[in-house]
Amino acid sequence: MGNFGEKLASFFIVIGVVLWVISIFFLGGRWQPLILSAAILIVAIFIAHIWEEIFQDKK
Amino acid sequence: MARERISQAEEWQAWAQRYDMEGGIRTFESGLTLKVFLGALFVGLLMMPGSIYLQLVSGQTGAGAAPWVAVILFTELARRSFTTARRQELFILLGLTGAAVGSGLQYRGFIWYAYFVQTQQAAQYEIADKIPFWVAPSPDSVAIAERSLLHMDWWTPIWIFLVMRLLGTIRHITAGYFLFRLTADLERLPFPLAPIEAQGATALAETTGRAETWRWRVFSIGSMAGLLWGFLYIGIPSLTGVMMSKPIEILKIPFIDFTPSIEGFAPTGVFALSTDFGQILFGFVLPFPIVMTEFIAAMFTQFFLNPQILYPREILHQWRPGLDVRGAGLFNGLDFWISANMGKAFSFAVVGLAASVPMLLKFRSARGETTGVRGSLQTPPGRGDFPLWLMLGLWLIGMIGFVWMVHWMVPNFPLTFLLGFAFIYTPLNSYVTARTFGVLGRDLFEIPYIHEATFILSRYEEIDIWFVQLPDEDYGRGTQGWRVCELTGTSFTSNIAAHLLIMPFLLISGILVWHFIWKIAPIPSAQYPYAQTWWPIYATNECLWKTSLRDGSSQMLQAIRGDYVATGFTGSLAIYGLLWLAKMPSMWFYGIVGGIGADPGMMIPRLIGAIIGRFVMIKHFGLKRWFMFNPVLAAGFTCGVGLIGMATVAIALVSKAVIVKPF
Repeated sequence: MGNFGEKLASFFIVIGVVLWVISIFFLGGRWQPLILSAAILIVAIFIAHIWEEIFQDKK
Repeated sequence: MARERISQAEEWQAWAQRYDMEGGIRTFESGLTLKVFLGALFVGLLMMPGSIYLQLVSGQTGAGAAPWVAVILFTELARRSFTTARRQELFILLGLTGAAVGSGLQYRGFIWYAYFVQTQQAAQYEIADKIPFWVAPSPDSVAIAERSLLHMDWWTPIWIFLVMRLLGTIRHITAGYFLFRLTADLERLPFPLAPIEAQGATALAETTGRAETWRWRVFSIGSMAGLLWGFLYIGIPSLTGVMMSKPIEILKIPFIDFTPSIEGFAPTGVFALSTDFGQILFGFVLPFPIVMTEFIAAMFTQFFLNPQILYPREILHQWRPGLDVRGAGLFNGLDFWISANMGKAFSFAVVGLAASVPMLLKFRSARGETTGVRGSLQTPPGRGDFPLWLMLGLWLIGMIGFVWMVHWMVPNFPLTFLLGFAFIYTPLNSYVTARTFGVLGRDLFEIPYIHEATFILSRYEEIDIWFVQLPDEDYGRGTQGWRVCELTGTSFTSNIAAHLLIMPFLLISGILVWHFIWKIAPIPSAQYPYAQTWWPIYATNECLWKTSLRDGSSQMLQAIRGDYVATGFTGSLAIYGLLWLAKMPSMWFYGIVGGIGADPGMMIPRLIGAIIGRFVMIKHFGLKRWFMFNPVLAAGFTCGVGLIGMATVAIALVSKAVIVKPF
């Protein structure tokens, strides 16, 4: 998997953080967009850890 | 140059090793011997009536210091008898004495409800006749008129208590052990405060040996510092309070409030400087990155986020100029922080699961690894471990039994809620607490007013639900106890056996002691001044709570807002993600998220300790020696403060027992 996992996790983190900032400052901090960005961040964090724990060690 | 990524595995492993006495290499021995058991029974039974009596008279139990007094007595006896006490024995003695002193207070409920059913408040709020038979006998019962706990009217409440206690012990032992294996063995979390307890027993054990080592010297220095600080901080106000109408406080207790002083440039910010400088010693022990980031995040909240972002947008809208830390803290909490903190706590669960799940995925390959390696569930030889399936099975039996009992007590309350608490909330809550104890040494996960919210959602209107113990439990705190047991080299089987053996004695003696104390005089009455002052107020409060949802709403519940919970949750996850992107240590996450919303003034003593430790002590003693010294120092300090606390309570008690005659 090489660095693909790291890049994928980073990509999702950036998307999640940007969406979080947009929801706070431009969408009135409503829970629906916030939870969407949380879901993206959760996926990113799981990818990051799976990559770190399983693939980075092998490398 | 690009920063190199340090995996969480490497980071936690390094911290765990730093907090591991003797580098993880130790032999395990049983700490349960006949002399320890008899010693604990004797000291415990002697102290149990004292602590119950103290609580009724002064509101303090002395429970914190009692185990230390017992251990010091035990080691002195050992020295006088030219024998030695092993640290495993002292660890068991500490645990058993603590259990003995604490167990007496568990029966307080019987006497409290015997009083509560007779109060005017209960009658006014129309509760008195609705108190279930499994809580207390009816107000006209002979058992209450005669003040006897040994009357047959008490049989139902007492046997229900005993069955609940037995099931509770099974659940707490098994679930605590299971979580310990998950967080300490599999994840290798450092448990920074566990060595303090472990080193106290180790240092005192060494005093009975022939050669005293550095541990005893360091422990003595800590104890003397604790005695001195305890005298200044607790002793002088308590003793002068006995003699004068207003006690003398050298340092204002518990804090000096600067909140009104900062409102000019930081409206809605709170800053109360904690005067408990004993916390400096805990700052020595806690990981420096956590203490530092926690403080910075708290400063950011109170001097920028609250006054510059949340206040102008009228999110913090109840604040008014002139409020002190309690008022501003309460309004800020109701407006925003109670909800945001809930979201923060959920993020700990997600991050914890994200770290654990991959380890479980590669668990099969890690099976062959040696003990002490992250990702491996291999156990050290002789530790007295149990199969995880057995512990899980026993927990299930304990929990199913508990839910069945609760369902029998409140048959009309929806079973779905009980099952949700038992099998979803409790495991989640316990896992998160175990992790926060493993990293921060304290609890961070709390959902406020969860019971009230449940009662509203369930549309259950009977009053009996308020008297039942719901299956929402937290075994995470117990995880640290297993780690302490491991650090002292005490076999787990001996620890469990000791607690199970002493339990029947404590259950019976607790009932007898309360029976006799109740027989001496009515509780509350002039003989028990603390109870006489406070119990009527508690009765009013209890009536208010138990009737607060009659109209189906609560001001506190309305403070919880989904938008703000989501803000706290997503914000914390975003911080974690950004730190991961920047290749920063994951410790920073726990510090930052723990500090956001908190009062920085309360962290200053710990910060001072962390800075002195990091920049003075480590340079002077070296990293390894300092990390060996500081838990022993903190243990000695806790012992010193505890002894002063107990001595001042005793003096205050004697002075209250003296009646001044008017002639």
